Amino acid sequence: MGRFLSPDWSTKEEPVPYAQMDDPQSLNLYAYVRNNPLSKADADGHCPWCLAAAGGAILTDEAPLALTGPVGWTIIGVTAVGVVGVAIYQHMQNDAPAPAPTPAATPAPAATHNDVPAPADTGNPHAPGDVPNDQVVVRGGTNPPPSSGTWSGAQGATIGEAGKGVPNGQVQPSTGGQIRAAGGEVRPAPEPPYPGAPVNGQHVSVTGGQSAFGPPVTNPAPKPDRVVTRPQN
Amino acid sequence: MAQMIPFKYGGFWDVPRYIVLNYRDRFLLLRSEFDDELDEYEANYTVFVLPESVGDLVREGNWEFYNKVPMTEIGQIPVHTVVFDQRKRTELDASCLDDLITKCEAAR
Repeated sequence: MGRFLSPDWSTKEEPVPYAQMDDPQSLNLYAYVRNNPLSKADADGHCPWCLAAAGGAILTDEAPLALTGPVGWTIIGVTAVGVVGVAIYQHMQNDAPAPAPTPAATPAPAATHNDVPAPADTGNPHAPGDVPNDQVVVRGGTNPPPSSGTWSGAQGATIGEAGKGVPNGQVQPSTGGQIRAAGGEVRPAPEPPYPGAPVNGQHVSVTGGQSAFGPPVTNPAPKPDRVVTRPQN
Repeated sequence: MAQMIPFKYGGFWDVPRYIVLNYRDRFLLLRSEFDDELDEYEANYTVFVLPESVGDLVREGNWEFYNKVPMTEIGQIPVHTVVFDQRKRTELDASCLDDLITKCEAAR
C-alpha cells in the first residue's frame, strides 16, 4: 500500500489532514486506515470509516455524560447523528460497482462430489448456487436425454471435471449457456447417489435444452474418480 | 386408480433410485442401480419386501437397515411406469405395485 502522491483533500488546510494528535497512527502518512486494514476500510482516501470508528469511540467516551441529564443526552445525540451520517456515506461508497475480477481471481466452482457439504434438504432442487453459462454440463451415457420432464446431469469446469459427477463411461457434453440458449433450464441439485452416500454436489437438474448436448464422447474422468453409485461392501 | 403414497429415497439420478415406502401394510424397497456393463441405470426397479422390524427406520427415511436385514425380492417393474409427484421426490403412484403384491400374497 503506497502513500498519497498529492496533497490529500480537506476542507481547510492542515499541516497533516485528518490528524488526531492523540492518535499517533493518524500522523503516519504511510499507514492505511490507522494500520488496521482488517477491520477498517478507506475507499476514497478520505477515511470516513476511520471517522466513523472514531465517532463510535467518542460515543463510548461520552456515555458518562448521560448521567448529567438533558445536556449530556443532547451531546450524545448530536454525536450519534454524525456517526450514522458518516456510516451512510461509507455505505454509499461501498455500493459503487466492484471492478471485474481477473480470471485468476475467479474462484473455482465447487466441482467435486466429495467436497460439498450435504444440504439440510438433499432433495431440494433449488439449492444455493448456480450453473454459470460457461460451466460444462454433461449427460451420462449414450442414450439421448429424456425428451420431457426434468433429468439429471453433472457440472464442472471441464468435461473431465464434470465427468467425475456421473458414473458413465460415456458423456454427452454441453454448457449452461448452450442449454439456456436452446430453451432449457439447468440448476444445481445436490443429491446422494445411494443411501448414506456423500452428496454429489455436481448433480444438476436439467429441463429441456436437449439439442444443446453433443454426441457421446469417452468420459475423460477415470472410473475410480467418478461418483460411486452403490454402497461399498 | 392413482394412489399417491409418500416415500423416502436414498439416491437420485433422473428419478429416485432407492425408494422405501409403506404400502398395503408392507414395507417395500424399490431399487434401480447403475449397471456398469450397460453403462446406464437399470431400466427396472427390483422390488423387495422388508421385514416389519425396519418400519420405524423406513418412516424416518433412515437407511441404516440397508444391507443389514433380509430383503425378499418379489419382482420388477419398469422405471418408466412409475408415476411420481412433480418433483419426483416425495410421492409416487403405488398402484403400479398392486400386481406384484397380489402375486406375492397368492404365492403364500
